[in-house]
Amino acid sequence: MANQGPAYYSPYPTAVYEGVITPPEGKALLLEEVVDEEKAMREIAKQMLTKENATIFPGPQVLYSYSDEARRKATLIKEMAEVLNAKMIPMYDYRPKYPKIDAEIEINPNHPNLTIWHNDIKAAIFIGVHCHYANVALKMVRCETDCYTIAMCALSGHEDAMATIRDQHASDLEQFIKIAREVKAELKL
Amino acid sequence: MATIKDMTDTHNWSGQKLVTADHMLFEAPREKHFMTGSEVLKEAVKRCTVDASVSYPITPQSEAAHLIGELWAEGYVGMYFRGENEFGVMAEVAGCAMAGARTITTTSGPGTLRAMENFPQWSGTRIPCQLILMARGINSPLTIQPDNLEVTFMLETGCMIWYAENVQELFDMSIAAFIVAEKPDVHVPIVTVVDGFFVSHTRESVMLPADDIALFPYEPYKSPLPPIDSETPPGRFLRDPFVMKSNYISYATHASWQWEVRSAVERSRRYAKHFLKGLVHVTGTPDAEIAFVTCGTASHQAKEAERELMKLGVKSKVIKLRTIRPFPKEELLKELEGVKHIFVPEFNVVGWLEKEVKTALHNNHTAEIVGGPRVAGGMSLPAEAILKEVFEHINVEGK
Amino acid sequence: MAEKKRYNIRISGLGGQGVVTTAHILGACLDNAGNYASLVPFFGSEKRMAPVEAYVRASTEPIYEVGEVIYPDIIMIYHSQVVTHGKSYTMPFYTGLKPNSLIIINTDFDVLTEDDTKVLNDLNATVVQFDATALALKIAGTELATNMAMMGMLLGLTKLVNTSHIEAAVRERFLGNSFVASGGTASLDSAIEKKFKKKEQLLTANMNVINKTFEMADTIDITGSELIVRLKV
Repeated sequence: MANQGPAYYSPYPTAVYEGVITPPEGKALLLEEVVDEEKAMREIAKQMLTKENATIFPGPQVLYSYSDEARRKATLIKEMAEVLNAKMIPMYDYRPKYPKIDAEIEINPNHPNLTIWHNDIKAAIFIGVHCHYANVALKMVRCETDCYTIAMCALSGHEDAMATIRDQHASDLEQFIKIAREVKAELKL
Repeated sequence: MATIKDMTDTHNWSGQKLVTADHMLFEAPREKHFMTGSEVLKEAVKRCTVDASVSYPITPQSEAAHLIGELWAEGYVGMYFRGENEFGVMAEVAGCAMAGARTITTTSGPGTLRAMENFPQWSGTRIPCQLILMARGINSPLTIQPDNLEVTFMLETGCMIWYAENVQELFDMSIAAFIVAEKPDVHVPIVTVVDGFFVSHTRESVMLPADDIALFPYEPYKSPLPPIDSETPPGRFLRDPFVMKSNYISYATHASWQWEVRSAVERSRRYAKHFLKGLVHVTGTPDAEIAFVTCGTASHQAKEAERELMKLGVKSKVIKLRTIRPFPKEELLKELEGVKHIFVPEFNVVGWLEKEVKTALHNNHTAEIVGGPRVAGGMSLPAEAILKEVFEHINVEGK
Repeated sequence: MAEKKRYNIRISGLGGQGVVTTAHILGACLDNAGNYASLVPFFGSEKRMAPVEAYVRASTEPIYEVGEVIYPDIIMIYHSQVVTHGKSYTMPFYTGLKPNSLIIINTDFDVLTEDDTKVLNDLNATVVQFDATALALKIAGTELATNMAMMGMLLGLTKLVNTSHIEAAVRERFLGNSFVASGGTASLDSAIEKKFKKKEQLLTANMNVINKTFEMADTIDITGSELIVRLKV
C-alpha cells in the first residue's frame, strides 16, 4: 500500500496502480518498502500493541476448515490475540449484510469501512480471509479510515494492506508470536 | 475410450508424469513436428491436466474444439461437453471453473460477441479459465478469414489478453497461460489470441516436449474466492452474490471490487515476464529509428518488411507485444528510445493497437506514429504493403 | 533448391479437388527435405466447386510471412474454371506473378486468351498445361488423384525434393493418424478409401500418378525458349 490514511471517496488509486506490488517470496511489504519478514513482523507487533482498539479479523479459512493446519492456526490466533492485547471480530460470511451490519460482532468485506469506523479500530490484522475479499476490504479501509491494516496471508500477500507478510503457515504464526512477545517486552507493555 | 486412473502425487488420471511449468516450457527435451495451430493446441491441452472443456463448434471456428473432444475420448481431458450456443458455453465454462476445474474453450469473432456478457463476469468472479480466441473478425459482413476486430471488444473485460504470433507461440503460451492465470494473486481469466487461419490453419514446424508429461493440477483451494463446494465451509453452491444495494457502502465495494480485478491483471506482469521471456520481443536493428509495433501475424509481416528494408540499407526493428492486457507500456517505451517513426500495421479497420500505442506514448514520446497499413476481412498484409507505407513517410534512396 | 532461396506457391482450385490436401502434403515434403516451409489454406464456407486457394512457402531461410501469397513465383491451377469463370481470389489468375515464374494448369484445352499469353510472355513465365484429371483417371482409376498429378508435375519440374520425401509425406497424410481433416475432407477421405480396399493400394496409386508426372516433366525444358507448353496425357 502506498500511503496510510484517507484516499477520498473512491478506493483509488489502488496500490497496484501506484506501482506497489505483492512482495516476492520470502519477503514482506511495509507500506511501499519490500523488507525482510522479521522486520515486518516486529513492525506489525509494534503497531498492534500501540494503536487503539487493535483487532484481529479472522476469516473463514481459519474459522472453519477441516484441516489440521486450520485447527492449529485457529489456536495460535487466539494466543496471538492475547499476546497483542487485541480484540477479535470474525469475518465469517462474505454475503452483504442487510439491512444493517452489527459492527460489534462481525466485519464484512462489503462494508468493512463502516465496521472499522464504528469501532474506531486503528490497527487490524486480516487472517484467513480469501484473497479477493481481503483485497476488496483492504482497499476500502484504506480509502475511508486511517486504520493500520495488516495482512497475514497464506498465499502471496496483499499490497493494499499497510503491512503484508506472505506464505504464512502455522509455524510462521508461532514465529510471529515469539517476536510479538519480544516486542511487547521491549515496549514494557 | 482410454483408461482413467486415479490422480496421484506424481501422475495424473491419464498416467502422465506431473511436472512444473518451468520443466515443461524450459527444460523438457523437444522434438520437431509439422503442425497447424489447431493441432498444436490439442498438443498443449494434452499436456495441461485439463479438467474440463466446453465447445460450440461452428463456422467460423477452427478444428481446435473438436480436437479437445478427441483428447477427452483419449482420456486426457476430464470432462467435455457441447454448449447450447456461445453464450451457454462461456457460462458453462464459468461454472466449471468456479467449481475448481482447470477449464479451456475456444471461440472466434461472432461467437465471442454473442458470449460477451460472460467475459467481465468471468473476471469479476476471478476464475482462471483460458479462452483461445482465434480471431476471425466480426459481422457484418461475416468473415471466416482472419481479422482481429473482436480483440478491441475484449480489451476492457478485465481478462488478461496475450497474443501469440505463430504455432510455436500458441503452444508455449497456452501452457503458460494456465499457470499465470492460476496464481492466487492473479487468478483472472486469460484470453490467448491468435489470428484465425493464419495460425489455426497454417502448418509449420514446431518443437514439442514429449506427451508423457503434464502440468500439476490446478489447486482450487488457493483461489481468492471460495470454490463451489457444499462440504467445505464456507459451503457454497454458487459464488457469493454480490448484491448492489442503493447505499454508499456498496458503491465503494463495487468500485473496490473492480479495481481489484484490474489490479489482479497488473499483478500478472512478473509471472508473464518469466514464462514469456519478456512482455515484448524485438527483432531487427536495436538502434533503428524506424520501429514497427505489432502483435500476432502483423509481427510476421513486419519482420519480412524489416528484412527487405535492410537490403535497401534502411535500419528498422519490430517490437512485438506479447501481452495486450496488461499492456507492456514500460517495456515498449524502453524499446522505443531513439525511435523517430513508429508504424502500427494491423489486421482490422479500427486500429485498436494504434490507439493502445498512442495512449501509452502520450506525453511520453515524440515519435511520429503511423497507424497502418491496415487490412481487414481476411485480406493478407504483404510485406510490400508495409514497405509502401514506410516509403510514403520516409524518403528512402533506391526504393 | 540449391540456387533459389524462396518459393511462394499459390494453388487455386475448386472445393473437392484436394487443393488444401496437396498444400499440406507439399508443406510436409518440403519440411521433410529439411527446408523451412509453411502453408495456409483459404476457403469460404465449405462447398463443392467453390473457389479454394492454398499457399505454400518454402525457403532456405526462416519464413515470417503468413497468409495469402500475393506475389507468387509458382501458380498451380487445378481447374479450367478458375481461369474461365474467375473462380479465384485474384483476377486474372496470374495477378501478382513475379517475372520468370512457373504456372501449371490442369485443363483439356488451352485456357489462355491472346491477352493472357502476351502478359505471361512479357513476364517470361513458363506455362505448362496438361490434363491432370485424365492422367489421374488413366493411372489411378479415379479423378480424385488429380491433385497428386498436379503436385507431381510441380515437383517433377522444380526438383524441390526427391520422391522419398514425397512418399513419406503422402504416407503420413493418408496412412498416418496425426493429420486433422475438416468434416468435408474427412467424408472425401472415406469415399476414396472405399474405392481402394486397402490404404496401401491408395498410396501406390497416388505414387504411380506422381511417378508418371515426373516422367512427363523430364520431357520439358522450363529454361527453354518455348514458354507455353502443352503436354499430351
